[in-house]
Amino acid sequence: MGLRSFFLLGFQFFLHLLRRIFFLYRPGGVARFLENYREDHLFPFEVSDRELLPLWQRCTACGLCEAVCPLKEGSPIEQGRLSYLVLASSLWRDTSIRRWAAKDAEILASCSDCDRCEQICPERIPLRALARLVGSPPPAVGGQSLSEG
Amino acid sequence: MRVVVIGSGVAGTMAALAARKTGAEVIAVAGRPGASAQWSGVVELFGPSNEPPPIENLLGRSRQPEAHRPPGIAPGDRFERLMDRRRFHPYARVGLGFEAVAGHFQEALELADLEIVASLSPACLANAHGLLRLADGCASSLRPGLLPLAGSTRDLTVWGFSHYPAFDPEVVANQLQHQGLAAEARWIDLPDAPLCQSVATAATVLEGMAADRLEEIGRSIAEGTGERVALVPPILGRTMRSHRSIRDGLTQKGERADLAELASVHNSLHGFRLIWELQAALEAAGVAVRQASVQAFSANDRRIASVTLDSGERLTGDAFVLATGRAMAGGFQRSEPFTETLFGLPLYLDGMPLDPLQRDSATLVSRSLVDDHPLFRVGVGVNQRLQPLDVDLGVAFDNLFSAGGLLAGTHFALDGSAFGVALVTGLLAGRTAVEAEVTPWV
Repeated sequence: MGLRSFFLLGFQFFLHLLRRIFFLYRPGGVARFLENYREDHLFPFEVSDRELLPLWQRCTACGLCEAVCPLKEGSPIEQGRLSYLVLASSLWRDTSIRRWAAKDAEILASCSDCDRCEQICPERIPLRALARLVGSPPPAVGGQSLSEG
Repeated sequence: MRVVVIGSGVAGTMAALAARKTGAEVIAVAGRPGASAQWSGVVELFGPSNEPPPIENLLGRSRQPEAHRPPGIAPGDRFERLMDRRRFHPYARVGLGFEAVAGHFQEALELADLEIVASLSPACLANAHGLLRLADGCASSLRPGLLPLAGSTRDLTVWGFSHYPAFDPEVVANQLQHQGLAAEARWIDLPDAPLCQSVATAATVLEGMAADRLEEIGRSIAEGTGERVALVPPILGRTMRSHRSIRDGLTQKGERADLAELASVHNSLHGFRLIWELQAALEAAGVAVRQASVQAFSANDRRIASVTLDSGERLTGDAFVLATGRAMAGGFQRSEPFTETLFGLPLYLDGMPLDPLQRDSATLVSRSLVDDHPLFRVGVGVNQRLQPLDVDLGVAFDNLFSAGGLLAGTHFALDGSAFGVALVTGLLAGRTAVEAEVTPWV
């Protein structure tokens, strides 16, 4: 087992050297990222999003945002559906679960910008910016939307 | 005489109320909620049942099938053990014995008129994962669920609501059975209610329910429960007021089955109710509340003259109480420099100031979750009058007092005394702040 692993590793290193020598690297970029990570439902971040990411990851799931949100007084369907926690945790560690929060982001997009959720958040998480990012249409590859996978 | 209280969690509110009671003019600066909003509903006062309690219990999950049931140690003995282990515990700093802590606790509850009951004999409470936690008191909505540690306990029926599937009564009943309790699981079917993902949404749905619908649900709970105690997930109403009306609807004003909510794990309605109760208590006592955070302060000759809020307002005062909580509420930072946020006070660890830039001690990495990490008990060091200390162990400001989670010497989770420290030191800080102006300490 061990020997075989070392052999494979050596072979990959050999291929790597060949590629280095013959410049066989493919161009990277968004298209390649999307192609590689479509299965995992990962999506590329803008530089500005990446700066915000650590802020979202501070969520302690206290749920105060949900308790003060006036959207909860809306229609029963929205009452049951909108979950800031799912929203915040969708970018917590594993960004691939963003699609689960898409519906919550959609509901939050109809909010009247009262910012009560951000005012009460102990961790000062920019929740509405988070909703905008999660709700923005996922980039498409070859005409196929990422969220369909 | 004017007292400015910075922070309006449990400790800050108690300080404001205590100072107000002596007749002082009190202004409370209320920032964002901190750990008070995460309160589980369990009051811990006299220390943990053993040393230290399994961390799985604290996190609300247990990997062992035979989960831990707290041994029935008398509160006085638990207190002695806690004082032995934590020489710099806030109780010890202000020189409180067991009787004094118990007395101040009662006093604080009466002063704030909180919906909290003390449990007189050793008891434990089940949380929403079915694990038992030692309780020296609890939110009043949990009271029928208090299980005495000595003698026999009543049988339990755990009820789940179909619109809140995150809470599974079968898992909870199973867990309780492992701990030697007779528990069974039942579901309440609410086919027309939307599925909810969190406690706040689930509570909103129950709040919007018609009275006859609630009565119908209450009847099926009473029939299914019989002589047992009905345990429900902590989702009956977002505020204490709506909780009372839902509970009255379900139990016909207490005539039907004994109904108790479980202690929550996090994302806690008990915590939400608590912070709104505290707010109401401040208003009722005539404390002026500013929804703002403190940006800067001015001091001359070791006395704080005023603090400036982010709204631009400048608050002058004769005494100041600092109750800004731990890292979560912003009392101090999670990373270096390890100093208190507002006044730049040094953080203390076991009686000595911590070097703010000491990287070795600043590593919050331990090999095991169960470890009692020293940095979890850092905080502001105080003297016996709750005045924060400077790096040279002297008093930092003559008219500054500190209370609550910000204080050094106790592990907020492992020591089983966090709620008690906030209530008791809050009460004392408010009182001392007023007294100090009358009789300056030499």
